Amino acid sequence: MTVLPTIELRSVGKRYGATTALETVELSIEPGECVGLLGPNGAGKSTLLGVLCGIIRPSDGEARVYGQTPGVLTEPGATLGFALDPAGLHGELRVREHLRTEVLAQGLPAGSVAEAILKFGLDAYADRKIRTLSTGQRQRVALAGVLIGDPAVLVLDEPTNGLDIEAVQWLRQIILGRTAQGLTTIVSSHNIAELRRVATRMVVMRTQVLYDGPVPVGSDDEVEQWYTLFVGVSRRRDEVVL
Amino acid sequence: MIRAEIYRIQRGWTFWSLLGVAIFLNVLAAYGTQSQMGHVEFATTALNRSATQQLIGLGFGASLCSMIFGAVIITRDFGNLSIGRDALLARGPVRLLGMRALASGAPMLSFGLAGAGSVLVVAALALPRTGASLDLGGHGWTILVGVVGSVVLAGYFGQLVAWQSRRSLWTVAGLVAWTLLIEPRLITLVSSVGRFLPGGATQGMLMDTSSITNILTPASAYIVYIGWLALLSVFAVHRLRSTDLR
Repeated sequence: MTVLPTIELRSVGKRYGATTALETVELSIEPGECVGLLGPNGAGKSTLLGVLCGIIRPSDGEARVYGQTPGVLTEPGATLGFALDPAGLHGELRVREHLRTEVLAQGLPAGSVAEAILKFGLDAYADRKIRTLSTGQRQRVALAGVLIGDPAVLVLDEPTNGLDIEAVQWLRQIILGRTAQGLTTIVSSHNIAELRRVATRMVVMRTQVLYDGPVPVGSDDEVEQWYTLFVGVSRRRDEVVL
Repeated sequence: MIRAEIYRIQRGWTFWSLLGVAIFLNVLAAYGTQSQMGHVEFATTALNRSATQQLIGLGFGASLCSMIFGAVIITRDFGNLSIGRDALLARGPVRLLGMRALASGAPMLSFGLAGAGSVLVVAALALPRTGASLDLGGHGWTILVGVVGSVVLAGYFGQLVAWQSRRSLWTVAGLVAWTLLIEPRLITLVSSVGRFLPGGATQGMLMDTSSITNILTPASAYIVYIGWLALLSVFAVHRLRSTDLR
């Protein structure tokens, strides 16, 4: 029996007019992996994650989540959760109401709202409107909303932006806990040190995948040098081609 | 998912404040019109019916609020980028379009009933002060149903336009300009074509011959308006299938 990869990108390309955001990206992610996605600004990381989540249409190729097109999953809430932007919430709703909509949309028991408020430490602002929350608080609410149904795949785009140290540690525990449970997580970040703490595999990209392999070992400085060299070499190569 | 959509649409200030504005403006318009009516000593059936129809026809004023509501419940999700998550949970943007249309049925109907009810109450209370009385005979009921129908359909018109435009400010400004300035002029200037526009069809539903006389029959008017909505639905589905959600 063939076991489907959790996520599969086949020759995915995305162009915005004359600008190429993604070029022939091939990626296969297995259950239980936590993939750290690295790349400079404009490398196409967010576009790649958008394609994975079915909200950006690839110009070429296709994305599959458990063999299905991401935008039309049969059990979307239990399969895929994403927090691509802390602003991506209904600001006019209260935190409790936001969680209630997630529970209704995913067909979960009503008691899940109270459980999530406690589990994700939202009790202090559960009745506040989302638009009045700080970036870090919104990030927590967004994560609570997507994790309420324990999705098999979690996609996070620069989740530590705007988070304080305590919140970063909290998020780290969540990601490590998911990996220990055999669930899949994909995290993009500019923070290599943080990615190394949670990732089981690293992908470096700059419109194309430049590196796809184990998490590099060495001191933080050495890994940063490795990354800079990697991206720098690819940039110089492009300049030569141009 | 449909329950989540219904729950979310009715949260926040948008629905209730626009409903309040719709009722307030309708009452104001109906009272203003009634105050222009002269006093009659012996009201005939024809006069009662004419005065009643004049007042209840004003109920369609709620359609602008309904239209704005329909638009805003779509555009705000594009504005805060939550549309992607909504589309995922709905299992695709096209299904989301259908679910949101279903979920907004009750709020749209509320606008329609509030539009008709507000002018009906004013007509019942104010007409006796002129010596006339409320009489829904003749075309009265047709017009009243036309008010509810036109307000509901206007809400869906706003919603389907919003799937195209996606930006709150431009959509609302465009809808207001179209409804209050551009469309009425087109209908008056080229009535043979204008009567087939959504606003022209609305005049048919309300049997309103105040600006043009060659209005559509009520039945044709409903068909024409629903035809517009069908066409806009096709455009909306095409746009959702061919573009990113952010």
